[in-house]
Amino acid sequence: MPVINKIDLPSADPEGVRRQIEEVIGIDASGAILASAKDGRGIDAILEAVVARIPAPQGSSAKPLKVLLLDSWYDSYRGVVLLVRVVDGTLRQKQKIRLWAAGRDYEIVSLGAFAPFATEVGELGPGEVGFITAAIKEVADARVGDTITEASKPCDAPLPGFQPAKPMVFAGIFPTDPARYEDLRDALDKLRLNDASFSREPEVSAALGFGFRCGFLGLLHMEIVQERLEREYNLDLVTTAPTVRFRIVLRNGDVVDLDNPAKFPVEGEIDHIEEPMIAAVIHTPPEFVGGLLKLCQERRGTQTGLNYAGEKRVIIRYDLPLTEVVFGFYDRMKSVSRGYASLDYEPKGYQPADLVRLDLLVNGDRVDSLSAVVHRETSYIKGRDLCIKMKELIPMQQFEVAIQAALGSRVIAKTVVKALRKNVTAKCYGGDITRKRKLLEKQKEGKKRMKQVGNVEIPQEAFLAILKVE
Amino acid sequence: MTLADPASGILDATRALGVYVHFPFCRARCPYCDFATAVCEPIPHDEYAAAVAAELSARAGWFRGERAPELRSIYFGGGTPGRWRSEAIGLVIDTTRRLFNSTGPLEITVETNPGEVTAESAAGLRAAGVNRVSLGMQAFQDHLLAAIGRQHSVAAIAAAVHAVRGAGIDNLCADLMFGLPGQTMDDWRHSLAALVALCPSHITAYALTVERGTRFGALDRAGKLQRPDEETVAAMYVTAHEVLQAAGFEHYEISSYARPGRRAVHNTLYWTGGAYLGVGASASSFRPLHDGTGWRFSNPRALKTYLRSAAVGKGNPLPAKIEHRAAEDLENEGLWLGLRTSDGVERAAHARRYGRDPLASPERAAAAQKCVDAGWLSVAHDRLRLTDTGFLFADEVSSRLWLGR
Ligand code: SF4
Repeated sequence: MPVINKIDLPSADPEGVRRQIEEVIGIDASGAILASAKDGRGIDAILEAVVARIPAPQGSSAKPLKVLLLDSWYDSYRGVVLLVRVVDGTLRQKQKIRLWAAGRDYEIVSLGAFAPFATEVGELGPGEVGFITAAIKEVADARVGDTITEASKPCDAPLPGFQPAKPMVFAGIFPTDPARYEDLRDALDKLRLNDASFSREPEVSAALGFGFRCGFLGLLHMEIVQERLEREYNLDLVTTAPTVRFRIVLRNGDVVDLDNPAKFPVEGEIDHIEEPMIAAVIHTPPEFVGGLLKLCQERRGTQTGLNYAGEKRVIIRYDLPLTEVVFGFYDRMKSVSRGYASLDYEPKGYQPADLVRLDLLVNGDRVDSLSAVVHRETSYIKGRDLCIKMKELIPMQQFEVAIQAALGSRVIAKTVVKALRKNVTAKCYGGDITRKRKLLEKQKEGKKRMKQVGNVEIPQEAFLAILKVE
Repeated sequence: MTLADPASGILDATRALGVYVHFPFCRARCPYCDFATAVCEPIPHDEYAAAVAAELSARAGWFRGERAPELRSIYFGGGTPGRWRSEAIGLVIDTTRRLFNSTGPLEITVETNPGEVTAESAAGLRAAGVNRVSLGMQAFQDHLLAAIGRQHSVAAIAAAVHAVRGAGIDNLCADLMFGLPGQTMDDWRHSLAALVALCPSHITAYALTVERGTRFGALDRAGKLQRPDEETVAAMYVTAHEVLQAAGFEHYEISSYARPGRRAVHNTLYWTGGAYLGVGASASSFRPLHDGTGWRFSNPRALKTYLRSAAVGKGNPLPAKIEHRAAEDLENEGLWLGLRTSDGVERAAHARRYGRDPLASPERAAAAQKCVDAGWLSVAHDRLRLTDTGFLFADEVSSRLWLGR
């Protein structure tokens, strides 16, 4: 039901927007309602259209309770608030309800609707949308899409289509200062109150110490969580390069789910490895199709479709290994298409692939948190580029730092960061010390963002260097 | 909104005071120089002297507490203040003396370049009251002097020394540079030896720093500036230390060497938290306050802006930069600047001034331990100081010891 809003603006171009809707989304917009929420134009038409075009709820209040959980959030006073839509039956104050997937029972503490402000109501019947609080402590127990029923008289089957959000991208998160491990744990716990879609498990890294291996829905989600941890909880973090969950089938028949390259089994034990695939849909203006096809091809993709939607938009479909997308695909796509292309994807099972673990050695010692799982064919180039990148990122230290990339016990590339010979402001007189002081403060800031690995100081960005390698 | 007013607060009058006078004119701009200076003919000698004298009078009150601090030094820097007419210099010196309290010895320094000094100009300086001359010698090879755009020749150096001494000024300082484009270790050794033969009382030996916004900066970014590598530059630093120490100079600050008793009084004020009033274009001041905080401010850089602003403010130009530094900031600075000297930081004195021992914070103590382990810092019960090697890593050490807030 297309509605074109803000037609009161001087720059409004409803006809242009109508065309765009048809080209971009591909739906018929000839009947789109023109509206302005600001001056009230079109509001009646929208309400009429809702009545006329949206089918009425089919549910029955006589049937056992069946409610769809639409959304949930954490409120520090009331606990978890659930936004729900009743399908069958009736929700009442004080009712005992059951969350299907979580398998837990709660008693309703408050029941209400948004009109538009939260208003308590006595009951909610089929087709009605409202909110529930029921002393639920964690959002993790209230998954969007889950079915709510009555504890004493449950419905016979949940609503179809519920899929708990599954983490697809994993990374280690460590405090730069080991003493702040507890703070990090508390911060993660608090974040999880509001965001149940990321997972976390304690991880111990030889290089980075105590931290957590966290799972995220995608890269954006990972960045958001990381940013919130740093901003809201004032933590300085080292995040390792994200990885996907590989499935490793061992010679002895065991299957290992691997979301941490550091735990990659010995080559000899591996029968084969499978990697998660995605069905990717890229929308782009036609002029970038060539570059994008090349990129997908380089990223081991298999084309599954290419069609024009209008003159100005092409939809490219590819099956791609998720790990390739995690390794900086998005940035590349944006630069190839000058920011115009957009990417959507869905998981599409697993596929065997020839993968190896690429290790990084700093002064002869393998740094576990710098290992990455890469395709054998590109491992040499990746190893070489990674060494070059690391050399740029690791500042000079008191001694020479050797950086090596290795596959198993074979060193495939090497660079050296020369020893620091001096770090001193030559001449410090003339009373203007402000600029020199600022340089020192900058150096200090840089030092804070370093992680000491053995006796080498490695900046945070270096742990993500593999993402910058083409 | 309260405007930052560097005149507010009560001066800490226990600190010694220096006056810095900036003279922003040179014969030509050296391609590495980012000081406030201009090539301008004719130089407005009197107009500039009047502005500086007016500024001194207008600001003197800011640097007089309940009791007047002791004036230790007047320093004419630039630019090339040796080009200033000596009557103008005399006027500025007399004005300063009149405004401030000075009972002990007063160091009065003028910077100049070898090609600028004649017997007459030196006598003029002497007559104006100058008792210390600093010569920007830089190198003892004509091709190196040309490579860094200096206007003088090697021959002019000895002539200038002769003229200054002839005028009766025996406190003679020399600036010498290393890490120059095309300079070899042999060149550097030769320069050091030639300088020692001239028997200066003070030497500043420092590495060429390529600053952004200079001609060398642009060349460097374009990859067209061939300089000795870091390793050679570090070795040149060590060579200077060895040669000059053997010749009887005391290496008392990272880049400074002095004959016994000839340390620079003025620069020492910068490194030890002294107060200083800077007048003239771009000049910076530090006004330490009674409550442990302090004002740092500086004048507009461009000559025209400075003159206009000074005229509008009746001698008191609107500072281009003003910073009020909290006690914690000054403590960081005190440690940083103190460590640049061979005396280092005396712990009891530091604690008296800043209210706590320099290693009181566990974070800093841990950082200091790392610097000790690296061989850069020595921590004794009474004093922190950089080791000989540590001098080369002074910024490394200071940034590690810097406490954030
Ligand atoms: S003589 Fe000194 S102040 Fe003048 S341009 Fe050269 S380096 Fe700069």
